[in-house]
Order: sequence, then structure tokens, then C-alpha cells
Amino acid sequence: MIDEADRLDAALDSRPEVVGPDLGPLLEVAAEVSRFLDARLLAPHERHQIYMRAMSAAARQARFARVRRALTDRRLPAIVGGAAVTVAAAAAIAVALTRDRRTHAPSPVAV
Amino acid sequence: MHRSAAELETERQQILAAQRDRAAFAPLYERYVDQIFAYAYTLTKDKEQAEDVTAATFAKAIEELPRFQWRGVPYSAWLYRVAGNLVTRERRRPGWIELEPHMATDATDPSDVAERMDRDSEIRGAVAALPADQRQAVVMRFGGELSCREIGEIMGRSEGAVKLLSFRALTTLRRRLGAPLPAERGRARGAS
Repeated sequence: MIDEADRLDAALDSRPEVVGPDLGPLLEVAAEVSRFLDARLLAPHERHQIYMRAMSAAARQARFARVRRALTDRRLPAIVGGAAVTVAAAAAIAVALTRDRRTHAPSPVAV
Repeated sequence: MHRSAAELETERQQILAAQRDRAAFAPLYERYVDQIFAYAYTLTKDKEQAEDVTAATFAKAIEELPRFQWRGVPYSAWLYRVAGNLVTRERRRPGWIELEPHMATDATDPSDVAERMDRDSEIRGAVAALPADQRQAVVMRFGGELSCREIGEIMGRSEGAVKLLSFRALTTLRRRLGAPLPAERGRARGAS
């Protein structure tokens, strides 16, 4: 059977000379099945719909990948740390200014 | 049955074009969407699931496009592998359901069309009744134009095992279907 399978495979690969009359009927059925499987199974609108789904899924995946990359980026802790230091410094300056204003508030005028 | 070197080169160029511009992926999609859908259909037994798998397969294809490396085998081999992995991952059992192809027939005589549709129904039933591994091999060999070696890589079987699967499948199909329609006989002779 292995020899027959080999000869059939070679015949299917455009070498019909290797096939004897015993395998001819199998070539016929192979041609028929090929024709059947070559037929378009999806209607044009179904093909279009699947294409749009694939495109949007790929775009979504690309966005996730970008976010993931950003989260695993080594610069991220430095950026977050820098931002935190900036916010803390701004808060400290604001507190200092407020206290300063209170300390040097104009003295009440004696009536 | 096999792709010629020129056909493979055309496909390589199409992939390179798609890597430069995603819009250029459309011809590759058009070429393979029905094959991948048919394959997913044979595995999932459900049209909606097959559509989901097909969409997910092409989404993965688009996503992986920048990293795709040409290895001289049809692009469909990679797509079949992805589709098979997606189905396996979702633990869907192999099977088959009724397919109603939207196919254009070259027959114009209504009686010829009816005869062809009856015959297609017989072929569909006969392919559906094959064992799952033979059915997969048939769909990829005769619907996807892949070589036994390429199919073997996808199915995790040896080239010889795939040849035997194809041989057994065709023997069974011939026994169930009998001789083809006269028009098909002419086509088969023309091909050989």
C-alpha cells in the first residue's frame, strides 16, 4: 500500500506517467474533490465581514501591545518617579508660600 | 497540484508588499479565506465558530506580518497551522457540518446545474464521513494545494503517513462516490 500511496502522490504532483490503470480512478476522484473544494464557500459579504473583524482585532491587539510595551518599558519608573518628585516639589512650594503669606500678613490697623 | 516556483515567488512578493503596506494584505486574504474557513469548518463543526476561527487566524496573520519570515512554502501552510492551533486551544472537537458553497458553476443548462449540485452534495457527504485525520489531509491536499510534507508538518505526522491518509481517503471516496460525472472525467483526463 505504501508503494501505491507513493505512486498516487507522484501522479497528483503532475507526474501521471507513474500511475498505472489501477490508480486512475483515484486520480479521477481527486480531481472531482479538488473541484469541489476549490469552490468559494463564503459569500462576498461574509468574506468582507470576516476581513473587517480580522482587521479590527489586529488593530486592537496592536494597541494592547503598545500599552504592554509602555508598561514594561524601563523608562517608565523614571518617568513616574520624576513626575512624583515634581508634584511633591510643587506642593512644598505652595505650602511654603501660603505660610509665608500668613507670617507676613499686614498688621491690623488700630482704630 | 504543487505550486510552481513562479507562483511561490509571486506569493513572496505579495507578502513583502503587505509587510510594507497593510492594505496590500487583501489579495492574500482573498486567496486563502475560503480555504481556511473550510479547514476551520472541518474542525469545528459549526459555521459561526469557523468564521470566528477564520477571523482570528487572519487577525493573527496581520499582527504577525512584520515578523513573518518567508521559508519557501505556501503562506497557507502557516495559516493552516494557526487555525489548527486556535481550534485546539479552544478545545473544539473535530467534525463537519453541511456546507452550502456559494460557488459559481460553469454549467448553464439547468439540468446540468441540478446534476452538479446533487453530485456536490454526495461529495460533501462522503468527505464529511471520512475519519477526522483523513478529512484534514484531504482538505489541505486538495483544497489547499499543500504537499504531503507541508501537511505533515501542520498535522504533526510524517510525509509518508500523510500520503497514506490521502490514499486511504481517496480509496474510500472512490468506493462511496463511484465514477465521476462525464464532465469531471474529461477534466481529470485533461489534468493528467
